[in-house]
Amino acid sequence: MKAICWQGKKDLRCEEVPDPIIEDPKDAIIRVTSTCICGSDLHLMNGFVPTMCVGDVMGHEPMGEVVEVGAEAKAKGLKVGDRVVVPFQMTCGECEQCQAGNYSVCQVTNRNADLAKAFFGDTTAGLFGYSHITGGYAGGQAEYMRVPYAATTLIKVPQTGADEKYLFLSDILPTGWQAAAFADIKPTDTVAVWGCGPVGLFTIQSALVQGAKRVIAIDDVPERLAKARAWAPRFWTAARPRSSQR
Amino acid sequence: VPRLYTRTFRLPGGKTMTLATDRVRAKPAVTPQVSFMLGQNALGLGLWGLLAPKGVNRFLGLKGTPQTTQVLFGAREMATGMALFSDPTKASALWARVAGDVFDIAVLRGLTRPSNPKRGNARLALGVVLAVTALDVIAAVRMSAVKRNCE
Repeated sequence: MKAICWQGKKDLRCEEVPDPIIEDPKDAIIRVTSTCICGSDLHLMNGFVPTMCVGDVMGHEPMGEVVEVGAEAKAKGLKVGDRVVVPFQMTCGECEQCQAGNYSVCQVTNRNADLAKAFFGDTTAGLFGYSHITGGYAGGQAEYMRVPYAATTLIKVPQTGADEKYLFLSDILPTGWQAAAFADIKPTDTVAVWGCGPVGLFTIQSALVQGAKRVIAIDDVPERLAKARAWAPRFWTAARPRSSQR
Repeated sequence: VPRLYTRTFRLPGGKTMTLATDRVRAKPAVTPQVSFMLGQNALGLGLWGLLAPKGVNRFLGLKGTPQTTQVLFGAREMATGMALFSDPTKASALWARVAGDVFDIAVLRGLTRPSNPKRGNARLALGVVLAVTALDVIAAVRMSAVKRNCE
């Protein structure tokens, strides 16, 4: 199959790689139908993330269709034909952190947790396509991908509707949502969002859904401000950083 | 029990580190690695030329001033080295190295004359430069042929 592979600093290539196979009963194989490119993929491309190895498959924001299921994943209800979003992190569902809902720091899924603990003092969950310090797993900028711990990792979505309706559940929508959630928004609050890139736009929408009285979107890129206006027509107030500083 | 695919890395001090990896991966592309290695080599030579120009002159039997060696050798190597270290896919930096190699070959050929007491060193340096030039040309040609769709 074809996949986007990291071949060194500033060198990403579409190359032939082996097809994924079921390696563990908890695995599933996904036919990728859509994927985002994340801003954090630029960190990998520019060589800022250690433990990337030449040949690594990129991508941590895909979605697709289940085409093969391991026995344990099948027993937990996952079946061929399911339409799923693949979150950037994989979760075992059983460890203390998963039980507490802190899925991004699952204590089981990072195969190279010892290295992560040596670097950071603790480990993240295993991540797709994001260096060996997060587990060395192949990513989803590919035709197919293997998803370990599939039954507890994958998000099932309805069969109807375009991919774009669900795709952002993989990473950037939850990132924007969590940014708003951290602000503990009350109904009387005015929320300012600096930066109207993809995550900023989702933060604006999340802040409104979470009850903000007004959202002020701040950016100096006209196209991004136009998008912010279009997405939140009743609540936006846009300002350029330089003029707001004067 | 599923097979665990691993990669072993060498660490400074002779230790090794073994990490789990994925079997789904591409074969390493050779050209960018050669290019990156050439960049690191250039940084080393650039430091030598900039910090010890008199030593370079003594080693090769050069009669120019240390400042000339710093500019024509040290700074030049450092510039292409830094360019390739920051972006090993930069074909223009590789071609700049080829141009520098041609200059080096011309100078070193002159230094292999019998009147130069360090002609043995000059011959050795010429051999190394010829080998590196071959790598530079191959890397530059291959990198120039890469079809880029994001510029």
